[in-house]
Amino acid sequence: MSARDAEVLEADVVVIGAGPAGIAAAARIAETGRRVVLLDESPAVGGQIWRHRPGSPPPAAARRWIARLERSGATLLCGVSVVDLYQAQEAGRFVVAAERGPAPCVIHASSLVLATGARERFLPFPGWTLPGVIGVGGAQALLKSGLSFAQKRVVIAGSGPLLLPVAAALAGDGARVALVAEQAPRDAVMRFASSLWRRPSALAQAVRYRAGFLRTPYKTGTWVTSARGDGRLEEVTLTDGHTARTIACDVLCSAYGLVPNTQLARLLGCEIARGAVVVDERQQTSRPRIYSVGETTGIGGVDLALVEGKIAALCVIGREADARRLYRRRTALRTLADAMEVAFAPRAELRDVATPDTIVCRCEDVALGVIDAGWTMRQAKLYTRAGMGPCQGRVCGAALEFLFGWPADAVRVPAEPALLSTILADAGNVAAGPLHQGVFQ
Amino acid sequence: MDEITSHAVRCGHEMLEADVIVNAAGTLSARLTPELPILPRKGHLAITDRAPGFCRHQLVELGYLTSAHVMTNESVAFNVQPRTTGQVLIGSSRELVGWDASTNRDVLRQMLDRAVRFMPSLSGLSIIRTWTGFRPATPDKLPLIGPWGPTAGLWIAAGHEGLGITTSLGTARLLADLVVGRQTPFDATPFSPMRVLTHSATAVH
Amino acid sequence: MSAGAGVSRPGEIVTIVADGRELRVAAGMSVAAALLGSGVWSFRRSVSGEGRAPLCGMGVCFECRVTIDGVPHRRACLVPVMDGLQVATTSRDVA
Repeated sequence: MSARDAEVLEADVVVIGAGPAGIAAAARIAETGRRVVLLDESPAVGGQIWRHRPGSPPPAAARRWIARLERSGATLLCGVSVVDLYQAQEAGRFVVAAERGPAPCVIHASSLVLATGARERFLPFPGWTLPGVIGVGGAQALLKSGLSFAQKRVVIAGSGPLLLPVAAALAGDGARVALVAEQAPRDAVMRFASSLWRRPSALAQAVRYRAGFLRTPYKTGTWVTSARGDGRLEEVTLTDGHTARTIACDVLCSAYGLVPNTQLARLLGCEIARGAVVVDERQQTSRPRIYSVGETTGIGGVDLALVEGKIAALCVIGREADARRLYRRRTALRTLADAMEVAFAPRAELRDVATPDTIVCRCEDVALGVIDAGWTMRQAKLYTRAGMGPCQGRVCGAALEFLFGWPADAVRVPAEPALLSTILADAGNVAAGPLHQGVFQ
Repeated sequence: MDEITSHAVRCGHEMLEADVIVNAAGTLSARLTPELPILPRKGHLAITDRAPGFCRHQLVELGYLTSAHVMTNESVAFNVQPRTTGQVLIGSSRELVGWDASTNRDVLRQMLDRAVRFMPSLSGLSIIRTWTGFRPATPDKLPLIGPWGPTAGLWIAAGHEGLGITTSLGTARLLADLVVGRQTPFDATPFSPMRVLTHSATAVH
Repeated sequence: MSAGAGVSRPGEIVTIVADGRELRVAAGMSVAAALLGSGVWSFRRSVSGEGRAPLCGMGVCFECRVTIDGVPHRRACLVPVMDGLQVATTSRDVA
């Protein structure tokens, strides 16, 4: 296959990420007749929160929006990884260079909407690399992509409102959930829970989750200190700061909140603050005609993602007045999201759990002990190879940011590992400069 | 390091004195010894995910020599190195664009395209990272190894373009011989930094 | 174009081959779920030789890399099973 055989699509708007925010934005824009291409890396749309098990129906809100998306006329491309993203000189259009399976795929557009969602924050502890240790959203993702947890002994330990719904989902699948451990202190969680009274639907939801597995203890102020096993997970030890306890288990679901996926925004040079893409009231980033919505602009949940997607869509199609009517709802949802971030902030003790032998960079097996807290992310890469693997610092970067306060390093092409043939495929945009090419042609 | 003077180096308020000072600061050598005609020659590199057994030798096209030793504005030349990790390092490119470290997509693609022409199976490898770096280049293509007359006690070991690591040990031995006053294994005159002051060896642009 | 194009109809069973072993799995599953569900608990070896399995489940961590239909370094959590798909893990080899 020639490196230059790239499928090239022309669009008015490319929306990257088909979670709730991306779906809302893409559908709303495409309904006006504009050419919209919606991309997602997963085999199906829905992002993380609207994933559904093969054979099971998606959540109701997801069904409505997905049906609306299918009617809207937007072009959906799933299983597509974005490798490069830039503004071509000619006419300032955006070029999205992507990989679809092994084949290259290039899309040109006048505007971009970045709805790349979030990933989990994994914090290292002894034994966290053992098979059997997965994320919390990771457990949900694996469950929804067809894995059964029936009869598995599960411990869920981490942070955030995601712990309870995931526990309920696993218990509903037949898992034996021994414990749900939330690292946030009890009063922080209670304060957050009491703020839910303003949002009865969220409160009802939380009560339903809890009711779903009343037998399972839910402990606050408790976190993992180590996991052990011979080649795979066999037991986990947790502490509440005073007492340690060890629980035998097959699966440990552990993650400490979410971090926005800002890689593509950074590749484009958009302004980032506090780990999220900065947007104005129109959801436009610091660069013209690049919008961002959903978790990418700050962790906030599905309702906020939908509102932001709608606001961006309305602004893209020039209906700012209609967009402004949604600002109040966005502010209310944003306030709730901010309260959540504060309540579930990872505690300081989580920095002391890893030992010098604990691996921090899983791609390159770099242990905490060889990393100097006074370095930058860049120095750590150069001196230890941490962050040089295929995950490109997505896992260790979030951990090192929590451990040492390091901001993320710059992003370069490829934004994700890509076949060399994919990187070459965008040759149509290459300036045909006659480079000196050696003596032998 | 702020300044090199006669038998001394000033770092902030501190003065470090020495009989012998060696400026081996690579692309930044001219910051300490401004007369050195060392230019940053930018190169791109790409590295793959692990592909054990893909290739066992470094592979370099003969055109690499022309690329490295001709001071045109831009050039690419095929250069592939297997790493001990099993990753494959792919190069090379050369440009004179000051200190702009950003990725030039056109140059990167020309470099990768040339690599694939020499070794088609490269196109199926997974690239996990690309980056840029600056090589210290001199107008006459030779490094600067020897005494720097105008400043007592100062010696230069810089300007090796893309062969700094490869020639580091040889450079060290040569410089040590010159400093100590031993017979050098070969004539070191072509590398004399003083040639900068006698020729009009200014930057090429 | 419909959402989730390429995913087989639910209820269908497909056969994939993992390290020479035939597995009958539900259509629509990811390769990662299929492997874990059939008792393959380690997909690859880390740089220092540790066995590794999926962590994030959503294509971010790259721990689930396996060779699918001859192409190495594919993230098993992002690839849906298809009838006849060939998977090779490297958990027996040092990567």
